[in-house]
This record gives sequence, C-alpha cells and structure tokens, in this order.
Amino acid sequence: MSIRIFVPLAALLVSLLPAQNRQQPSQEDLKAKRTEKLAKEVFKKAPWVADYDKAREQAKKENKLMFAYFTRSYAG
Amino acid sequence: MLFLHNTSRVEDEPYPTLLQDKGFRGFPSICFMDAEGNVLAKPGRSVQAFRDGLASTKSLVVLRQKGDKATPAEQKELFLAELKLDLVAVADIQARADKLTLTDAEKGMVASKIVDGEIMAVMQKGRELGQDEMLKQLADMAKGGKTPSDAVAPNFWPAVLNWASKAKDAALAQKAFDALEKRFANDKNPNLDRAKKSWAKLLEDAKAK
Repeated sequence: MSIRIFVPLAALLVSLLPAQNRQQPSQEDLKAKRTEKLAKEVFKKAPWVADYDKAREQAKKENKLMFAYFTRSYAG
Repeated sequence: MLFLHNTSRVEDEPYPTLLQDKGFRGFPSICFMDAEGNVLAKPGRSVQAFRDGLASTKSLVVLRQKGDKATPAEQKELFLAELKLDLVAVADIQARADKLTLTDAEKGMVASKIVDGEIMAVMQKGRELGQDEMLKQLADMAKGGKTPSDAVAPNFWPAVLNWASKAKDAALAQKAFDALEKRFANDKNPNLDRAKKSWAKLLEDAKAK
C-alpha cells in the first residue's frame, strides 16, 4: 500500500475509533498528574490542607474561616 | 485556614464534584467558607478584592453569631451583608426586606438583586431552553424594564444586544448598547476594546434595513 493511501486511510480509521478510547487518560496517568500537581512548589509556601474533611475539622477546632482554592490536575 | 481542592478524575478521589457543589464552573476558583463548608463569599482575583472579601466574610460571621440577640440595626446590617454576598435565596429576598426599614438606595439594591436572581435562573437553564429561547427570555426581561446590578450587567446586556441584533430590534439594541457603555465607562481594561467593537457591530446590524 503506498504512503499516499496509507496516511489518509490511517487518519480515517483513527477518526472512526470511539472518542472515549482515544481521549481517556489512564488512571495511572491521572494519578501521576495528581502527584505532580500537589508537589508543586507553590503549594509548599503555605500550610494548605488538601483533605476536605480534615480542613473542616481543623477550621472548627480553631474557630477559623477557610479560604478554598479549587484547581485540577487532569488536564495538560 | 487554607483548603486546597484538586480535581484529578482519579477513581478514589473523595468529593470529586466539590467544585460544582460549591457553585463554580471552572478552574481555578476561590472562595471563603465557614467551618461547615458553606460558601460565604467568592472574591474577585485582585489583592484588594481578596482583602474586601475577607473583611466582608469576617463581619458576616460576627453578625450571624448574634442570632436572636441582634438589634434591628444589626439584623439589617446582616441582611445587607448577605445580600451583597449573594447568600440570600432569591425567593426570600423580598420577604426579609419587608421586615426592615430600608433607605431608597437599599431598596434599589434589593430590587436589583431580585432581578439578578431572575436573570441567573434563566441563564442557568440555558442548555435546557436552547440559546435562542434563553436570549429571547432575557430580551423580554429588558423590554419589561428589568435592570440588573453591575455584577450581572456584563452577562445580561451582551445577551440582550445579541438577540436584539438578530431580531432587528433597533430600540432594544440601543438600550443594551447604552447600558454597556455606562457599565464600562470607567473601565480601562484593554481587553474590552474587542468587546466594544463587537457591540458596536451588533448595534449597527440591528439598525440595518
């Protein structure tokens, strides 16, 4: 099969794959991204609590408000 | 204290929908919460907005703690603080306002917040309604004289202008355009230039035969 037919045919076959199979990262990838995100230097500069239950427990115990920062690690 | 929530889509992640549960739609998002996890304020992203948000939240907590012992003045201060922070359900705003003695300016704020709530309710049903129907409902609100607060105006008036332009409703388009000009009169954000050009084009299209 010549390259001129193979490449468009391969592209066509890839486009016919179910979207989920192509785009869904594995759980291992997601876990690795999560670890990498939470290890970022910026989160070491202040005492962030990443566990929602523990954060609320600590806020109640110390009679404090919580400042919440929502981020994600699954993209990029 | 500082709480960091990371959405990872890992299967064992606790509270995977916490962002949406707290009324946010995108990342990053920030807010102040009480120790129960109730959202008290969603500050803007400048240092000043953070400081203002923290001050408002602290004041709110102190007022709430007074409970039944609050004086009428403190009850009013609590209501207005909660209103400014969008912590009062739209359905409850007028009933709570009716129990208080408000100035004309404060009554105006109450009316704006009720309108804001009605506008946000339509926008939140956008997917269900479809874009055209959503824009039409917002346009009808504008034609009916509803005026949102400054917080919601940047979402409301472009939507109305968009509909008015498609419908060739020159008068409504002019009203929306004027409202946007007024809203952003003192805003020096250079990113607004593109938006202003698109608004001018929509107005021109509304007036075109």
